Order: sequence, then C-alpha cells, then structure tokens
Amino acid sequence: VSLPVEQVLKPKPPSPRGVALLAAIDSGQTSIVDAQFATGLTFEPAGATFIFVVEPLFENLSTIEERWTESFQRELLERGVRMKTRDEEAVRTGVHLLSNFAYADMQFGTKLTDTAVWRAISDRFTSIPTVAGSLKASLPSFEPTTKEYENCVSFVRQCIDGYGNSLFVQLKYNDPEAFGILVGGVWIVLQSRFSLFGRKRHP
Amino acid sequence: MNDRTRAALVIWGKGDAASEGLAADVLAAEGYVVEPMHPQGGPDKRRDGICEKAGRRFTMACYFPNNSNQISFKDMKEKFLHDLEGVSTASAEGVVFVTNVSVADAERIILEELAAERGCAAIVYHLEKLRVVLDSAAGLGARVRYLEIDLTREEQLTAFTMISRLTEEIQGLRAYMRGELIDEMKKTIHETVAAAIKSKKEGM
Repeated sequence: VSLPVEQVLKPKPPSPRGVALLAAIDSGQTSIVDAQFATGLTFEPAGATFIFVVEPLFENLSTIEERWTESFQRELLERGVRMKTRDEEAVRTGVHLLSNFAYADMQFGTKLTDTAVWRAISDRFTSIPTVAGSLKASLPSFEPTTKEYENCVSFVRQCIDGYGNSLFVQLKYNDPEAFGILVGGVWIVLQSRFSLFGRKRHP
Repeated sequence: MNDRTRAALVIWGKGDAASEGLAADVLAAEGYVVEPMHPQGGPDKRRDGICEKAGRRFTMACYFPNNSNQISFKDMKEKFLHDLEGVSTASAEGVVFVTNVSVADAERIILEELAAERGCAAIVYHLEKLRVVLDSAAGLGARVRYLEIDLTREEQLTAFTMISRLTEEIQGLRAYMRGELIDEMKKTIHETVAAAIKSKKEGM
C-alpha cells in the first residue's frame, strides 16, 4: 500500500553536515564508533537527534549531533548504522514509525489513523504486558468499516512489518532482538499518539 | 453516527466566512497549524488559508455549497482545479480541500490523481470525514459554533474527559521537563524490549 500523499511529498533532505558526514564515512575518511539517540517524552521526529562519536575527527569534531530526518534515517539504514543499545534502537524505531504514520494522518485524518494504529498493534503485540496495558488505555471509541479504513490499517501494518524487516536485514539484528526492538518502538508509538506515559504516572 | 451533523453540513447556508472558519477549526482539531487568509473577503490568490502539519505546508481550500447533496462531481472538480492553482503561488506542497460535498472513494482518487499530475498532494476532507471530526471530542466546539448542534450528555462527558486528559498530559510533560519521568520511561522501554525478546525466544 503506497499512499498518494506519500508519493507526492518528497522527504526533507539531510542537513549539509549530515550529507558531508555520510560522504566522509563512504570515502573511509571517518567512521562512527558510537551512535546514540536522543528524544523527548512526545517522541516527535522533529525533536529527535542522533549523537555520533566519530574517528578520526570530522570537521575538527569528535562528537556530532544530527537531527533525525526521514532521508538521513534512510541513509543510515542503508549503511547499517546501529544505535549503541537496543533500548535506543527501540526509540529510533518508534520515531521512524511515528514519522511514517504522519503520512496516514494526512491522507486519512488523525482519528481514522489512531484507530488503525490501535487495530494493527492489537492484532500482533498483545502478548507483551506493557503493550497490552497501553492498548487497554487507548481503546478506540469507534471502528470504521470503510475501504479507506482498511487501506489505512494495511498501510500501518506495512510500516511496522517493513521496519521490522529493516532491523533484521539492514541493521543485522537477530530475530528475537529485532522483534524486541520493534515491540519497544510500537510501545513508544502508543505512548506518543495517545499521550499515555505522562498521564498514567500523574493522574 | 450523528445524522444531525451530516444534515446540517449538507444544508449549510452559513456563507463563506463561516465555511472558512469551520474548515480552519476542523484542520486545527486534526493537528494542522492554520493561518486563514481574508475570511471576511478580499484577495486570497485562490487559497483560503495556509496550513502546516508534520513540517509540510499546504494551501487550505474550502467548498461549502448550500444543499451540497445536489452538487455534481463535475462542479466540485472544477472548483478543486481552480483552487489547485493557488498551491504554486503559496510555495506549498499541496492542497487540503475541505468540502461539505459527499465524495466517493473513486472520486477522491480522481482528485488526488489530478493534483499528482501537477506535482501536488491533495488531501480531501469530504462530508463524512468532516462529520467524524466534528462528532469527536476535538471537534465538538466547532460543531456547536458553526452548526449550532448542542452536546449530548455523552458528548459532554467526552469533552470533560478530554480536558482532564489534556491537564494530565501537561502535568506529565512538566514532570518530564523536571527530569522526573526520564528514568521511569527508560526503564519501561528496557522492560518492553527485554520482555519481547524473551517471548520470542520462548516461541522459537
């Protein structure tokens, strides 16, 4: 399922520094020795940042911060750049999925997409207690039966499965690890879309 | 399903300024940042506003004819193509077309393809999509204001719940800003990843 809006809207390019960093890595002038990921409670892609430690120095810097963008993320995936820990990889996964779902928000509307996300996740990930708990806290008030809704659910499933595949094929995580990271990302999607984490802890 | 909302949208009869106001409120409820342009009349360069979402910039175009169930697809398409011309002058990536006309799936696809041929994205908020937003918690205020449909008892409860949730969310964000939630969140992410790996290994 490819959304019309997704076909027309082009991803924002990486920053000039991001492009230069990738070029330096490709030409063997520098390499990433440590990659971390930083974000906030809402996990908005616009606020997410990669933090790399590089060797040898790049532009006289050993630490580089680069903002998450869809295209920069794609470039990193193609180069198999992992985060330092599985937990950070899960956050990156969540941010990636949230960014994908923004296309569905635009194409189908937020309400329909929220319901589709709930449905797609509840079909596959209820065996994990934290995910099951989040699903209970974000029950949809209605479930549409339109063709648009089915398309939206298919798109959401494809995004989740597609990234699961990237974890396995491009980032070379083994099967249980890739699944764990994907579930961590899915949990983050639920917290962010339905604003669960802060609410739950501070009633 | 609220037939009153649908009927009020179809009959309409509120004029251009109200249609632009309603469209702006619906898009705001959907997470767009909206900047209306001359809603009381004036040169608008074939766009009723500019709206942004997820870093994407669109023009907002409204089409709210009275008795919209009598409008043909041909008429709506003409208006759509007319409004599409405003996209390039606004340096936007596409148009969000908000209308009280009922649009079938196949018709929506035609509109999207017409826009794509011109290198634009088209997002169509048609009658049913408008109704869904206006009957949801985030759209109830706009429904009362523009369609004069009061809240049912259940909707009042929904609205109060939403306000309460927003308050809790703000409290949560404040706690996060103070650094109180960071460790707890990291711990939960770690537990989730570990539990999923364990579950997968057990199932293999």
